[in-house]
Amino acid sequence: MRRNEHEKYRINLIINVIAVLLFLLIPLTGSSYHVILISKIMTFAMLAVSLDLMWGYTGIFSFGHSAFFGLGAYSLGLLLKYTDSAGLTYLGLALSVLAPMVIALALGYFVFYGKVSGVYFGLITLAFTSILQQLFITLLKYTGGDNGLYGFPYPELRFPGGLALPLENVYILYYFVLVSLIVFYLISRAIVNSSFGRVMRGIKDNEGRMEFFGYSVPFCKLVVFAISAGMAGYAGALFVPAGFVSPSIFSLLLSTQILVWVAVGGRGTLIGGVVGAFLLNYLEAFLSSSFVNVWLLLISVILISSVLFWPQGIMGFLKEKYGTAFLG
Amino acid sequence: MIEQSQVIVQVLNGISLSMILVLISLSLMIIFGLMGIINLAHGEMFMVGAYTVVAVNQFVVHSFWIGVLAAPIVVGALGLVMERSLIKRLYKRPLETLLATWGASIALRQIVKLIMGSGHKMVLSPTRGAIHLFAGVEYPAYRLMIMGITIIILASIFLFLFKTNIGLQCRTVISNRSMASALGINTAFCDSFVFALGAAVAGIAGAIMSPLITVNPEMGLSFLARSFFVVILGGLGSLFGVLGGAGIIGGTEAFFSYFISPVIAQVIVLLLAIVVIRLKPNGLFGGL
Repeated sequence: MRRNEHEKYRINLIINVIAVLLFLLIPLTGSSYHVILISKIMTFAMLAVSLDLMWGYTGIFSFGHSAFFGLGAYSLGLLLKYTDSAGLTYLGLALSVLAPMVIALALGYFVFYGKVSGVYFGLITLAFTSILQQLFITLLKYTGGDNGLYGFPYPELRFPGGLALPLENVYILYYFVLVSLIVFYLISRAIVNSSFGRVMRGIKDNEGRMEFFGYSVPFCKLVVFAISAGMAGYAGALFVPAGFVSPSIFSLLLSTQILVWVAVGGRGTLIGGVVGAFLLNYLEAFLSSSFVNVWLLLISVILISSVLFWPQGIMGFLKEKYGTAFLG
Repeated sequence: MIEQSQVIVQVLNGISLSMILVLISLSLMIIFGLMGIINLAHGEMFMVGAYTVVAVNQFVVHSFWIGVLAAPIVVGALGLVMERSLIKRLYKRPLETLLATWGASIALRQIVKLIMGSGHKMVLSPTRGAIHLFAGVEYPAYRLMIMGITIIILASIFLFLFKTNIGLQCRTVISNRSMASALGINTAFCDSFVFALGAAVAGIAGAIMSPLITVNPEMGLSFLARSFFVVILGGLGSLFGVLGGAGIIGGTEAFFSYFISPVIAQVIVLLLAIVVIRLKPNGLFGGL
């Protein structure tokens, strides 16, 4: 039995190393279109991991993650645009984590401490996302409205000693996003494996019991929500150099897609979100350019059927079958 | 200085918005109250109701009122299909229902887009004229008609729930599902029936609203959010709460839309709902 565990651990380690090496090597082979596409998908994967912390582990269902993603993107983009200085990239990245966190704390304080059911939270975040999107479209003067954000200096990573890495270079961007994704994943894994992670799972299974044990369920939910929103905001900031920032990234469509990535990949596995994001975004890159309506229809069919017939998702299925999720 | 007549028109606008909100929220609430699930495809049922009027006028016969009569039948049937195929399997998992019905709402939007095109549609109002009210105020006749129709529909739903046998059975299921089942009430039938009824009411609301708004496949969403706010404010499970909640939401929105802007009005309504959740989780009228 022990030997078996040990072997599993080794197989996991090998798969992890191979996966990371593969990602390190991708830019050498692909075209720059491909490199940008994968960078973009990796920011989405970070978003999916942040949602999984909330949804898969704590059982809080949110339609609001595209809103935090958008807030992060606009925090960095607007700062660069109005100060016109690429040197403020670090400040912008910090802001892109803090702004969504503060808003999540405010929103979460009211809703979690009201102790209403999780369904309410889902609906409040749904309304929050759609209204925030309209607000950003209306604030035309500052945000560029539907035309999106442009005319800002490209973010740069400056190091002591005068070294500056412009994220305009797709390869630098790619490796920066990759490192961020890996660090995020490891942080999330550490959170999930900590004693707080056990509290999160406890809340998912039975809120009332956790209250009896003396945990403040609203407080724990608030902490998870704030962490998750901050991560989503950072992913949004990385989207600024990788994609195009317009109010459409606030959309409920994006929020739905995040849910679909996590649901298809497997809830409560962390890596499932990454797998789901890659799978569906690749599919979308092939299909949606010619059939937008059909693609959306397909998304909804995938969503419904994954809920009805396959709630554990790809990675959940593998976890069930082999005892541990690969890449875990 | 704002003229008195303008104030009256704004008040009437608030009332007519509230009336429509009552209709949509009521069906959302009946479904939630009976089955404990929130139907995110609710806004799309409203949208399909409006499109039924468009489709009847375009393909069958040029009559607004036949379209309005067809809407609850079409949308009610749609609700029945949804309940039998989707909702029935998920009663034990409320959060999953949220996902599944959200999937259904996207599917409905896309199907309508594929069939009817994604552009705006216009429905001509059956009556054009304005009615002279007191103090020299003119108000569109059709808006007044909507208020009348809403009251009739509300009255018939109340009569149905409180005076008929099926209504009695449904209320039994609401108050105690297992006891109702033990008494020999067919709870599965009640579920399907009430879901279809709720859908039909949403459909008729969409149909009678269609001349006043631009009909497009995305129209359902804003009504879904609003009707949910009404239910938060009024408190789930309270029929009077729906009336009060709709009055507050409709009034607030009409007021701020007129004086500031529609988007700011929606932001204010959202903030109001969030604060109410914290202070009065059971809604302002939860005790009634």
